Amino acid sequence: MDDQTIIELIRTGKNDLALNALYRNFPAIRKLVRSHGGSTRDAEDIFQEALIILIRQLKKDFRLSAKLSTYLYGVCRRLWSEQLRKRRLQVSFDSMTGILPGSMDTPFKDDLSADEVSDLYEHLQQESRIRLAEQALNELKDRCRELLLVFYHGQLSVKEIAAKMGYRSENSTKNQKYKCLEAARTRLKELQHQTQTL
Amino acid sequence: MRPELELIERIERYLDGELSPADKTAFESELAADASLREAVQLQQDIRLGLERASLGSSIRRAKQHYYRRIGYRWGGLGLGLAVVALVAILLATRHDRGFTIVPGVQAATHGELYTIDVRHDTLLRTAHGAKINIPRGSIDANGADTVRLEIKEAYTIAEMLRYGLLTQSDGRPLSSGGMIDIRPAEGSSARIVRPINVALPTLRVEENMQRFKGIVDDKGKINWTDPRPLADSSAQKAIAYGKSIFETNCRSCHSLRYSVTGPALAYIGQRRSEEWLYDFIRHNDKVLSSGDCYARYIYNIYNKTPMNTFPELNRADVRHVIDYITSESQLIDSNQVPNYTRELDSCLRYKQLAGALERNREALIRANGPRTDVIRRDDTGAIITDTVVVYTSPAPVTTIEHPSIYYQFTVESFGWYNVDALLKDLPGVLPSELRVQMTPEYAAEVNVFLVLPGRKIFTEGGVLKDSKTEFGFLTEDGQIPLPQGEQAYVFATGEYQGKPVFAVRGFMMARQQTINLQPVPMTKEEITEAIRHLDFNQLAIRVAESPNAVRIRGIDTSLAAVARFKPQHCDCDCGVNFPGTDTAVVEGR
Repeated sequence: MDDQTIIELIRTGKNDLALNALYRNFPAIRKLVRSHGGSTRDAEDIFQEALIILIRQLKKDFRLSAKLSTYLYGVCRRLWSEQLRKRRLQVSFDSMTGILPGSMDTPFKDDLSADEVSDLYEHLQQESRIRLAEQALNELKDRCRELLLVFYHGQLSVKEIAAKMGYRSENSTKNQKYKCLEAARTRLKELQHQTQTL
Repeated sequence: MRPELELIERIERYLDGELSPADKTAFESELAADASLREAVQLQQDIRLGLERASLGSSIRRAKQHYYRRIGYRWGGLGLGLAVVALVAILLATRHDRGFTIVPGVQAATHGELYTIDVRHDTLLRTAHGAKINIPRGSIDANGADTVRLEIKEAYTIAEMLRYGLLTQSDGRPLSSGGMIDIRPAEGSSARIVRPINVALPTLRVEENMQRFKGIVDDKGKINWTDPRPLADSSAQKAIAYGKSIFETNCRSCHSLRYSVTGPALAYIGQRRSEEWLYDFIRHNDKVLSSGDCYARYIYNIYNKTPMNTFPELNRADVRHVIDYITSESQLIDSNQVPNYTRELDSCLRYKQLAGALERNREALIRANGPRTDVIRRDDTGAIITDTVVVYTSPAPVTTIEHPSIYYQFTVESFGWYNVDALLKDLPGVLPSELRVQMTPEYAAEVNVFLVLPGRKIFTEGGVLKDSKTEFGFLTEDGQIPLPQGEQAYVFATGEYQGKPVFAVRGFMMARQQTINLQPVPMTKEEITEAIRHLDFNQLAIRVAESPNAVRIRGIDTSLAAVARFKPQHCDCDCGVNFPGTDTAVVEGR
């Protein structure tokens, strides 16, 4: 499958087929991570993050400066080197310098454009916030999370969702959605508060 | 609706871009003025990104599974084997004279996978998610064409069912589904199924009341699942139910799947141990234990050395069914929360293997070092005396001990000195006597002791006395020896203890009956030389040096200490524990 087809699939919401094709890049990433002190598990995590970044970017009508495989490799390199840096910090309690663009890409030759690198940083800064939101969602009741995910997919009408999830009417379905959003929001706020006080 | 919910709705509409231009402007000016509204919008935006992330995450996990399945690995080490087959197989079809015609009916939200098959041959399709579709030759009529392009959609999770618009309702009531499949001609082709095709879907877990439903498409393109029937092949269900009954009858009193109770938690046991092993162990764990099986012994030790009951009445099929039942039920349990003794034992055995190899090298090096105290006798000319003429052999002689040298080696070299036998010749002043040398037990086991009579040029090695671990004698095992009375004598001890050379020397005047206390202490080479310098040991040299292999042995010691760090914390690595009623088999690490 060529890059253009994959990009088209992602833009039209057919992530599964696109991801099956993209996953073929995994061996190179595994090699990269494993030859820099990581495990296969680490490689899978890093690769997952890179795929999320790629898909987000493509949905934003983002123009790639290189092939998808090169982009993924470049992102994984940076993510892994950042991860290594964090791990070292955790071990040695070095002085905290914060995430600075220059600090993370030293071991590698640059193969992403300046825009791509700055987007990557933006993503990294958002990441912890979004992870927290994901955690808040995970802590919701199954039915609530399922309902929000169904709405998020946006491929079913409210009526269909009502039928699927067994709600009496469209109105009660929507009402339920807002209640679930409210619960998620409350939990997320609590989590943010906890994280700040830590 | 509550006002709070109305606000949430408004924010949603704003984020979705559904507000009218006027409402949008109004909302944005409110937003500019109201910090708490800004926070609410930000939270809701974050939740939407969180939903995106959760959804992408599960898509990526599916792609990962697809990838590992394609390259033939097991799933990312999670051990989710697709062990149990068969579920709800559905063909979207309407009745049409002698067979079923596949009709493009439901407008599905997403495309499935496309396959081109040759209808003239038997075809076995293995889909991306592992379903097996057996299409016998001639079962599809492609309007006379040889090939047909099929679009296949599989749905195993609610998200997938939604994506494909495969709703699970039966006459208005929701159904839970173990999996569904939708097969139809791809856009542009037409075909009908004229003979049954067989579909087997993978499922991680078999439920007792799973049934097969038929999908009927209504005029709005909705599917109603009707006509529930037992699975054509319900052997999987029967087998699981049978396995469950065996488990409940025999295992439940001591085992849980999720928790370790009297015995270990059994969830995912089928992934940790082979069926063969489980068969042997379940039937006769006593025999497996006495055979020295490391895993069995390891578990036995952890669980207080309480042996499991034996179940010789269970046959091979029973065992397989109970494993299948456990595997099926395990899908409801997080595998990370079940102790994995296989992994710990593996570290343990690896440690034993490494440490064992190092120990063997170490022992070989020690053997090659030779004796801890090397006694060399030379005659007056300096030639080494090899065959001494034995003048007298005591009926019960003391036995000298040869310790191997580890880090240090003593050399005692004598020129023109005699062995103790010489005393037995009729010499003036020699009388039967008793001489014992005593020391603390830890040193007694590590040293050689010598008697020196300078006036008679007699030098002889001692041995431990009968029934004693701390007393040495020099001729017979009861301490008897003829000695010239009133003359100067010395005893000295050479050896090594805890990695250091130890030495002691003591002079005394010979008498009929005496016990000399000799206490070796760690000494350097110089200290030993100093200790014997002023003694009249004419032509008797005592030297100490590092053993020939000391450097290499110390290297191995360092490696052993390093390897010991890898020894798992809760592992006594004891494969050779005593087991009641059987002989102990000591097993080296495999």
